[in-house]
Amino acid sequence: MIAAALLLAACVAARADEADADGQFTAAIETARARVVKIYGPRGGREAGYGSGVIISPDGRILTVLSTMLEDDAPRVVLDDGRRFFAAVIARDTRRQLALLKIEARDLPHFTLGSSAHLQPGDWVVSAANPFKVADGPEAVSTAVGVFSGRAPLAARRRKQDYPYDGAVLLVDVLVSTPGSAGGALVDVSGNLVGILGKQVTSTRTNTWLNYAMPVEEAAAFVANPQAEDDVAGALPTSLPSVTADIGILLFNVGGRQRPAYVERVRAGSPAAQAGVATDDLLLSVAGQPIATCEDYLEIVKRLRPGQEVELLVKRGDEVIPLKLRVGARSP
Amino acid sequence: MVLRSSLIALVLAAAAPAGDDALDRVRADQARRVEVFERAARSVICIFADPSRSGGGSGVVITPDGYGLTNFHVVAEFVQSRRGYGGLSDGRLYPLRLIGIDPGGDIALVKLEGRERFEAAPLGDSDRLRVGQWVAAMGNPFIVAEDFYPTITLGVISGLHRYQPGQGNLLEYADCIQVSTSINPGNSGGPLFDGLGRVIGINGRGSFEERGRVNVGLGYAVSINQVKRFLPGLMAGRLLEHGTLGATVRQVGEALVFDVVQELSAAERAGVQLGDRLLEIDGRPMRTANDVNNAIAILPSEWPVVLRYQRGNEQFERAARLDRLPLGQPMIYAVDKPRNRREVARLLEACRRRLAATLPLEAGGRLRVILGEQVETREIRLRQVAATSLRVLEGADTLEIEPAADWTPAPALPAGAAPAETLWREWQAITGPLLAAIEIDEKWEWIGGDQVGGRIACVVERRFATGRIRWKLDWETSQLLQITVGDERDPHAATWSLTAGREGGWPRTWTRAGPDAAQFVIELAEGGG
Repeated sequence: MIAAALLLAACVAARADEADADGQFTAAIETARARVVKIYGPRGGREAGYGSGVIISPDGRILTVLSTMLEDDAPRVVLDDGRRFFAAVIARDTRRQLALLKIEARDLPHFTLGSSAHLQPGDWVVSAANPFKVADGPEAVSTAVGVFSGRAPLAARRRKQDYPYDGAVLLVDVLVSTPGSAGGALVDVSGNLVGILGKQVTSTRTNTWLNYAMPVEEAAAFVANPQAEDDVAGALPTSLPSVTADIGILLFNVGGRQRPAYVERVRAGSPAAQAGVATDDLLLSVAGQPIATCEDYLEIVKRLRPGQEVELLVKRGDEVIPLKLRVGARSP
Repeated sequence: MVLRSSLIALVLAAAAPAGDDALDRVRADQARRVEVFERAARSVICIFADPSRSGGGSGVVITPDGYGLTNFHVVAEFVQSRRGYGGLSDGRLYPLRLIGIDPGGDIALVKLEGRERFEAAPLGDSDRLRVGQWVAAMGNPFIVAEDFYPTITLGVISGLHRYQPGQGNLLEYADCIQVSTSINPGNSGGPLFDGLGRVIGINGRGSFEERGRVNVGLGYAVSINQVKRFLPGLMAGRLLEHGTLGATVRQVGEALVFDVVQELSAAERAGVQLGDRLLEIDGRPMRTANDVNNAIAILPSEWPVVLRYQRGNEQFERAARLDRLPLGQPMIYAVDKPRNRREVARLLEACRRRLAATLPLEAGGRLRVILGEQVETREIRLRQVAATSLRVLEGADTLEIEPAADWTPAPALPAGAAPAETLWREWQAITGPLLAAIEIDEKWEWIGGDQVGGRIACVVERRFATGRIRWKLDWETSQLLQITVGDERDPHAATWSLTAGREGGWPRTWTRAGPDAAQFVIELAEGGG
């Protein structure tokens, strides 16, 4: 009788697992597909003339990558429900190769530009985009599932002069380096936007196509301050509410290629001040990530979320001191 | 008691510490996946045009006697000889024969030989798939498997209802499944499995463009539900054609409007006029030209469809059978008659075996004849007199159902004669072959497939000098679903619809409907003796 019972239990469990395994990504995919648009414009050179974008505000702001398809007066945008719009290009960012579009619409489902800091190598990620313009009109864009592999700058990329962004990107094992995928969404399993699928880039070392996404923090920085970048095509009507992680540390940042992360100043009342960080401390690690240079620190802080608890390791004299703080928020 | 202890087992499982539980579940998932794929892999075929292993594609065994599916473009090389080779995971190479082809849908049916029984994969239901669900492709990409053990690649469904155009009505992928699973040259014809090892599609294509013929994350599989509609015709050993409405639509704003309706086409027979707005095909809403392709290109010629369309403020819902969509290039493909006859005999035997269990009919039968407005009810009695015949007792008259070898379909209801007697004889004739002792002779042929009441049916036909009888048998159960008498062009053609008994044995109600508006119903009631 026990055997029978166990068998029955196993069967029930197996069915539940099957449903779970098949439905694991359903919510994230549905969220992502509703917020990704198809974009069409002129083709040119190696660029396809079609691509993807993500909706980032209810009134129709769309983030995508720079491409010849935006050279038109009014690139065409098709929403998930099949509605068609002409878009205005309102800002361009040649460094990150991003562009901000605007369509005249209301109450659109949209992504919030949050953080990718929580992604750990091995985490599931889901892509949503329109490679090879497989989806037409109201047809749903393509999705794929893979894992987040890590963060790294695209040091060995071809045609650096056309793509000056030197910061870290999110590397994934999802095949997203396909015509039309750039500008699409990379989301985590909860459907949060963690990156914008990047332009097609090949490696000078291995000749392979790199599968990566621009971290959502970079996209947020562009959207928050589009005029700061060159080639601004028009004024942004209003600035999106955007918050940046803040600890309250200013580093001693003078010339030299490898600048160790010495604290120059701690803002009074800031999380760093409350945690006891002092001037002249050397930052060794933040949130478990080792820091060798000022650049390392800036990269890590960008990925922190306001409210997140992090551990700092500082060297003061000959002493190594662990400190804890809660990340603050600051409007840019 | 059993129930209670099993509930306890479940509760205990749920209460286990979260960390270990999660890891255990991952391990259990993996163990089960490995087990499912190991079993599934035994059904996968590595297909070659000759024993030196030239050519090369994949396939999957779907019946224990060795029938298997692959792509048409995999077998195109040996369409003439109809002979190829299939390697299985046991490391052995078996001869295989090409049975039927569907060049329009890029599907072919083959049959492996040289073994009593093969490991067959069950077919799934591709209408129940979800984007994001795990799927595995198996086959022989880049012909790497020396031992024929298939390569397994895992991914998710990236998109459903995709349309990938063909060329000259060939190799059109309509309403197909898009996967992130790696599909490479050599994977063609191989199965796409769901997480339980059921075949949900036949892999055949990818998006490549400038990247060379190597997977870049977009593969396409013909849905297994499309294949199921072509399977009866493929089993018949035919070259199949797809259906067409004989009409085209144009997008006008949000609407799809008929802009070409060919004369005598399926669309015209369904009452469509130029300028009508198309709303639905088979209950599927039509929004784009791709929607129409996705609804029609998955159906064989002569398949029934239901169109819903609008003219002014009026809506119509009409059924029609599709026209033939001719292949862009002519192709000759003769049916292998002896094989066809063997398969017909097998099919009809299976049908009769199902019925044999419910003979003898101890039933008292009631014959109810409805002719137009006139209803005439007669009591009859049926009883079995021998294993091979039924005797009908009607009052003092005794009718015995005999083999129907020389029966001629009624040309018309004879004027003045009791129509019930004529119809009664027709019923005897069409039921005759259900009796075990009647030989299935060479006049029977398996001619293809059809859809009857939403079920996929095999159509077998017996020709007479003056006409024909067609039986439609359920593809999965061999149950008799419908009998048609005469030709569609024959004004006296009629369809007998059958309603099965509770155990699916002898049909209890036989309803004859013909263009003469006469209905003839026979009900076999239980008991009464």
